[in-house]
Amino acid sequence: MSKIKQSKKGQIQLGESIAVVVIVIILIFLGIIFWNKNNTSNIVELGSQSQELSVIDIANIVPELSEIKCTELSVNRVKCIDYYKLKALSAAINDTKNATTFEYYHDYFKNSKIIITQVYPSNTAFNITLYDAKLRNHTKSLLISLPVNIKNEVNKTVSYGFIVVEGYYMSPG
Amino acid sequence: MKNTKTNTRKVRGQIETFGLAFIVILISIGFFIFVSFKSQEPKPTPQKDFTTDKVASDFILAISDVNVENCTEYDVEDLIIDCATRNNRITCGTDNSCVAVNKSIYSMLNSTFIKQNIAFRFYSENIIYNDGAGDKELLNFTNRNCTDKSAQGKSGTRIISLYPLQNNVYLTLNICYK
Repeated sequence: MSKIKQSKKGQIQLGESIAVVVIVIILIFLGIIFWNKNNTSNIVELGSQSQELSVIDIANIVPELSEIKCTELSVNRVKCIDYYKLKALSAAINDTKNATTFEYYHDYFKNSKIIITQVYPSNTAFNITLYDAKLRNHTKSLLISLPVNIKNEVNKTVSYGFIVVEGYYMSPG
Repeated sequence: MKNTKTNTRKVRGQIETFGLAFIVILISIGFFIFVSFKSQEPKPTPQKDFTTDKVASDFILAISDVNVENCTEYDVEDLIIDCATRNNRITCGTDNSCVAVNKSIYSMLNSTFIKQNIAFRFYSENIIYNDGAGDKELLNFTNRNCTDKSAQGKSGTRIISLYPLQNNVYLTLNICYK
C-alpha cells in the first residue's frame, strides 16, 4: 500500500519537474524570438543611421575641399567657397568626355548629388551642380543643407548660399 | 512518526516549487522591465542633430561677411557696427544701416529656416534702434513660436567688437526642436 503511495508521489513530483522544465523552455524560446526581432529592427536602424552619417560625412568634406575653398593671403577662410574655383571644379567633374575627375571624387561622394546654391543677394542667385551620381533605383534619399559664404574674387563680393547634399540609398533590410 | 515525516516532505516540496515559480516570475518581470526601459530610450537621429547643431553656428559665421544688397561695398558686420554705434553714416539705397541690416538678415533667415519650416529664434544684444515708437533691440526674429523656454538645440553666437567703444554686439541664433 505504502509502495503504491510512494510511486504515485514520485509520479506527481516527476510531472511537476517536467511542467517546470517545459515552462522554462517556453520562456527561453519566447525570449530568443523577442531578442531576435529586437536585434533585426536594431540592424535596420543601424543601417539607416550609417546612411545618415555618410551624408553628414559628405556635407563635412565639401566646404573643406581645398579645390574650392577661399584663400586670403594663402590662408584658407572658414566656410567660404570661391565662385571661380567652384565653377572650374564643377566643369572638370561633369566633363562627359573625360570621367577621370568624376571617378576620383566618386570615392568621396559616392551616390549623391551636391549643389551649391546662392540665395542672397537675390538679384545674383544661382545653382551650380558640383557632383551628380544619382542612383536610378534608389528607395531612400537624405538631404542636408549647410550655410556657406560664396566669394567672387573678381567683384570682391561675398554672398550667402548653401551646400545642398542629397545622398541616395537602397533601403536596408 | 511516519505521517509527520511525509507531511514535512510535502511542505518542503511545495516550498521548493513555489520558490522556483517565484524565481521564474522574478526573471520574467526583470526581463520585461529591461525591455520596456530599452524601448523608451530615445533613438539617435544623427541627421537631425547635425542639422540643428551645425546650421546654427554655420549661419551665424556666414552672415556677417556677406555683402549687403544695394550697397555691396559694405558687409553685414559693417552695417551692424554703424547701427550699434549710432553713427548712421552708411545708407543702402533709401535705407539707413539699421533698416538695411534688418532686411538683409531677415532675407537670409527666410531662405534658410522659414522656407524649410525650421523653428528658430534669432536676436541681437546691444544694437539699440529707435523706430519712432521708442528704443528697442534691432534684431529679434522668431519662427514657429520658438522662445527661450522651448526645447532647444545648440545655439550659435557671434561677438562683434565695437572698438574703441567698450561694448560688444552679440548675435545669437537658437534652433528649437519642434
